[in-house]
Amino acid sequence: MSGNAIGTLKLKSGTVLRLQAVNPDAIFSIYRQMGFYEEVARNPDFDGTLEEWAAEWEGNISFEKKIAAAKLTEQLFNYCAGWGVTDNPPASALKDLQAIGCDISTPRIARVNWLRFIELAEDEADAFIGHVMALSQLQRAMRLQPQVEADSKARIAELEAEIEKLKDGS
Amino acid sequence: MEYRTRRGHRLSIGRVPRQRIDNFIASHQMPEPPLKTVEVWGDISENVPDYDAPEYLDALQSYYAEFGFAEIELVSGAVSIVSGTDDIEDLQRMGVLDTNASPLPFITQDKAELQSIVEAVFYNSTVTPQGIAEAAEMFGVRWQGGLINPLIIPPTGATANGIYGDWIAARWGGYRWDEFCELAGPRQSEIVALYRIDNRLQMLMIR
Repeated sequence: MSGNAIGTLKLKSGTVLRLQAVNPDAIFSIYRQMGFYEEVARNPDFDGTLEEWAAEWEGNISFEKKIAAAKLTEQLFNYCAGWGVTDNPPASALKDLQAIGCDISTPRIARVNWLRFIELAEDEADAFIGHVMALSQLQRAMRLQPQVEADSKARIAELEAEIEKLKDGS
Repeated sequence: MEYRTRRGHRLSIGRVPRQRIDNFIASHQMPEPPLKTVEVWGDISENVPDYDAPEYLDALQSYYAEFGFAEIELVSGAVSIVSGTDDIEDLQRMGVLDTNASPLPFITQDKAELQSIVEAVFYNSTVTPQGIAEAAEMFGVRWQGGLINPLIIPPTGATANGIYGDWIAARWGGYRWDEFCELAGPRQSEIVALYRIDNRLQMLMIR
């Protein structure tokens, strides 16, 4: 699997997925619902790489938490596959999914099952989730920068207007 | 009030009881920074807030994350999705969205849109800067040509939580507090704006 451009992802199967950003708050909400709130709310205070941190974290958590982490990954996958991908499964894939008894009753559910059972190799799921999450965070950061600048300018103008009014005694 | 999300969902925005908002604000006080001692002049030292203390920054980050989610949960009950519920049904069927979790983060594009929805519910429910500004515009009270802005409260040396001013304004307007809380948000804002403008006018005229 390789990411050709930020909005696409080439899978081992040869398919190039077109990705779209999701609301990062929805991702946080999934973490929160699954009981991984602290991990979202706080930055890891760790000197190594993120992978090393993840490995250490995984080594320290309880068995129950590991099960919850697997469930969390499943939900993140469902959300990223259903809402973070713009491609739909081809008709042949839909037939195959139906043949193995998969739910294809709505376009999003069909897309999730298509990616899970046909397109993605087992070791590609984590990277796929990571790619959609990174795209979403990147888009947020790109939106935020001009917004922060505009907010600062607006606040300065507002304060200057208030100062003028106070000078007038109104 | 209707709201259309950028993803095309139509929402109906209602209100939450004002007391719930007041309780929410009272129970989510921002963390205080620790104090550090700094030398200000010669041997004289002073305790000042340490805004860069790592434990304070951690607490602040946790506070904002928790506050944001709690705020969304607070307003969720007042927002109903009129169209576009298929998204929500899919999320629930796949187990991504708990039935008791708020669907709002899943149907909005970003934080700014979420914030707009929160603000719309607050506007309908309680006294807000937007409601006060609208009331001031409607009353159009001017002093020597300048519009009196009830959002600016001249400093007096006394401080109080926002609810104190609203409570006094309610009493000034002839309302019991529970009656005042029952009023729609814009109506509450009008009374507070009127009270502040009236006070300011009297102060200016005495001066």
